Amino acid sequence: MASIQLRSLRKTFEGVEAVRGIDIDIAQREFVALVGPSGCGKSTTLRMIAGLEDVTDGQIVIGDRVVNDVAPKDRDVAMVFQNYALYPHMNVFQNMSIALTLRKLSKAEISARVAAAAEILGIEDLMDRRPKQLSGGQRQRVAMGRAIVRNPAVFLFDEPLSNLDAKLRVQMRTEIKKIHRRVQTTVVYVTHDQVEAMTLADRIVVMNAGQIEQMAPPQEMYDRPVSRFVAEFIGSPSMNIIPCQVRREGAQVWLDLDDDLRLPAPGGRYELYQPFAGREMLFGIRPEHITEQRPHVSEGDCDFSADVSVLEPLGVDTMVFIEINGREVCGRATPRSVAGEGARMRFTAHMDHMHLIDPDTDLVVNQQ
Amino acid sequence: MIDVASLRRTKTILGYLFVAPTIIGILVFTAGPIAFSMILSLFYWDILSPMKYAGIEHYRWLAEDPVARTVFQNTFVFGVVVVVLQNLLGFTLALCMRNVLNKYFRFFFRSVFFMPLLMSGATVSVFMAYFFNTDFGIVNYYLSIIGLPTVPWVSSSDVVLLTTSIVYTWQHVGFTFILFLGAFSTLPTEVLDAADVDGITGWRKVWYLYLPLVSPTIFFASVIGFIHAVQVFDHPYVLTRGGPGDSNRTAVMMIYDVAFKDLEFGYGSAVAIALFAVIFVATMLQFWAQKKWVFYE
Amino acid sequence: MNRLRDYRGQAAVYLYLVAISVVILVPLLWVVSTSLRLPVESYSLPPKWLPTDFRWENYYEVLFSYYLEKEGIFVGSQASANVPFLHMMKNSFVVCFFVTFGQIFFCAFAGYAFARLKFPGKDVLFWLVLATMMIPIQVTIIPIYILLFNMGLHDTLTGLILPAIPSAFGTFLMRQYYLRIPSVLEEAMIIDGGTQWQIFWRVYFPLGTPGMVVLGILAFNYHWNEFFRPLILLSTDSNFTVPLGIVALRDYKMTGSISVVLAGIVLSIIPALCIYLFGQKHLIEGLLAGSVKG
Repeated sequence: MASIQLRSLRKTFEGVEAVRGIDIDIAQREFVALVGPSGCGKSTTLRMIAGLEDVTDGQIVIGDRVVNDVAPKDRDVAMVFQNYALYPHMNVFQNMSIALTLRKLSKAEISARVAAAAEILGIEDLMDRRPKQLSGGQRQRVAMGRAIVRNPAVFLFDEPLSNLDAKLRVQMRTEIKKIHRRVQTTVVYVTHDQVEAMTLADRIVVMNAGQIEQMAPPQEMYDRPVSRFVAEFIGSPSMNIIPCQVRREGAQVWLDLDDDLRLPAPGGRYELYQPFAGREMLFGIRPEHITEQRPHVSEGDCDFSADVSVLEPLGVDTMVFIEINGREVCGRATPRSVAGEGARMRFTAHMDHMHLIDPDTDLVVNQQ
Repeated sequence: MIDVASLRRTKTILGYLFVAPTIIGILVFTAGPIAFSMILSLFYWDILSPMKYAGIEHYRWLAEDPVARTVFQNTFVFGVVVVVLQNLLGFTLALCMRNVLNKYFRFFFRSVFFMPLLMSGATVSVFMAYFFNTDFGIVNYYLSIIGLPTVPWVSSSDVVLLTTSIVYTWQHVGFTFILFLGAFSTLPTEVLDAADVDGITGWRKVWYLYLPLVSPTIFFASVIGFIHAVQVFDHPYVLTRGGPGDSNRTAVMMIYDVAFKDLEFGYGSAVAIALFAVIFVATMLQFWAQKKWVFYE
Repeated sequence: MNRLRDYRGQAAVYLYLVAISVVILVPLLWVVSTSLRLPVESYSLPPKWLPTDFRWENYYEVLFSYYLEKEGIFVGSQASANVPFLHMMKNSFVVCFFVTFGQIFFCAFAGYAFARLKFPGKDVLFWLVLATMMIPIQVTIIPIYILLFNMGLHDTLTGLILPAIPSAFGTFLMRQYYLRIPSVLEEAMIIDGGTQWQIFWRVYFPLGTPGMVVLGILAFNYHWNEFFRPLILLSTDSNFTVPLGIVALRDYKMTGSISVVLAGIVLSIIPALCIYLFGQKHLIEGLLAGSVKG
């Protein structure tokens, strides 16, 4: 189990900077997820850690050594690929054991390790099969088994669940989490799915265009996003972002969203927000924090009315779409409480969970 | 309205019309001749005098003729040697190309290896004969300079078949090279990456990964390569006209001698049929053997 | 060996590639430079790899001495006067021209029929085509010779051209190219009111051009370099094709002065080179495409 440090890591491909000088510190046994949209540089970063890509600038430290010039096989890392990358001409046992055989481990040791990994993954019965005889989920397990038997210092996952169907993905997510509990190895997990990142990781690194937007544990990422990008990326459905006019009235900051709609910022944030009075800012609030009218629990709760334009019942909640200032805004309400489409309805905005975003910097006004 | 019936009719008419010239041509110049060959092999004929029935006399003679035995042996050995060399060179060169990233270098190497294929086997043999000439040849000259004994490339019956193999392989390396270049470009890169991380690198990577994964191509190259090699004529003919003795004589040369020099068209046909049979059997054997070592996705 | 990290490995790879390149290029270089050398020096050892003289007369001799001698003008050494090389080049061009375009033309039609048209017996006929692709030429050469002999074509270029035009391989190649063209184009044409002929002539035929280029290059090259069939079929010097001419030159010269022979060789390689430079992208792509499925 090793720690990993990336220092000012940079990667350029033919003049295009894919990774622009990032710094990450991963502790031993930590499960870190790299998330971001396609092309943000997360896979490139992972491949640099693995040694499959050369580093243009900066350092990669695994454990206590700088591994920039160390071959992948000597970095003590194991990798699980998006397309499983199983050796097609070898059966499951051979796929899992080949690396060990080449490192001259004893037959007994190899069998023991393979058996142990197979037991964890539930693939004991598949040992004789070839990859093409396995289902997607089974292949993914074998790929993980191949990584587990290596007892590496670091596990690297490159979007391992992207090729599985939705149900399988949810299942495998839980499996991976359980495996991490058992095997307790440092993990770097790349995905474009923020749900995977949230559910699996100890810490999440959100990347965008080669740079890190924010590094934080899941809950903190959710509660206190640092930038508009992170705010919109984490959480499904996405946070509502509504242009507003900030106004100061006495000791209260108001956010004017629409001709007939204005919401008060929580009193405690007066000092934080009042410098922005008179400016046009972005008001961010997650759908789960716009509900049907409820008894106020905190002083930040505030009621307003709006016309329902679309309803999307999910069973547990109903998504309510309303129009504010020309934008479609999404809220979540208990199914029985919603009015019909087109009708007017009362909502409660739970303003304790609001964010104010500066449109010039796209940063969230910091509540620290 | 689209008239389906008349569309179908037009397709049929056009179909026959379009394939007619080619099919007729194939029947006249390929299928027909094959049948005729088989029949001809059962007769004595020299075009000038009438045909005389021979039965399987020609085949019996083939089985007993010592020249035929040498010739077929030469042909077979040549085929095997050439296929092995071609595959070895083509595979290793294509593998090396994976490390050449500069596109000018790639163009250079690709062109150089491919170029000899564009030449005539006869032409190549003409200048290669000068190269390998026992007395004035350049190869022997350099050998003697380094202090190594000169080799009677074209004058010794023990060596001359090897010389022909070398010349033929020199010219045909581009064939397997291109085949393997194509095959390597279709390998799944993720699997190769996984191997790097797992520790399968260097020669092990070649043995455990590259070889099995391109085994279909090796099979294809071997089958086609053998079929072509076994039909060789230009190189041994131009190099030494088959000599010394019969040591450089191949099956097709024998057909040429028998049919067009001795005017024994019947016997010549028999030799041709025999060669075809050898090719056919060898190919079938290779197909059967592929289950053992060829891996298909 | 995706990318070798160590410099030693990388150097070894390049060394190997360069070594083999040298083995291939050096004889060719020797051919070119010796072809420009004085005939008497052409066999001198140690061999000089780079051209030092530029005796273009050798080329002149190869091409024209036969004809000039007829006029009473003697050029160079005696032997090449027996080989009408220019005629032979012309013959080769004629043969290749007709075979290439003949093959392209007929195989395009037949290939299209097998790819897109429907007619009873289509599968059987295609199987026949495939099967004959595997027949080695020697099995058919004797009967073909006899046939041509009886038709009086046995020492003519026509006799060389005719059997070469119907090509099973060419048909197969064109069929594969046509299969890759999406059939929606055909359906669009039908809806637009086109006839079957127009569908072929205006849609598929033009779109199959890359296939025709590959076929053309392969056919031209193969028949330019062919030796066996011409050797058997042709008996008069003036009907010979270039490879036969080169061998004839060599036989007359023996080891006397080979530079003239090599001049002939260089001349014979030039068309192949031109075709390669012109179509190498198409050609290699075409070959690579076929090799994918083993």
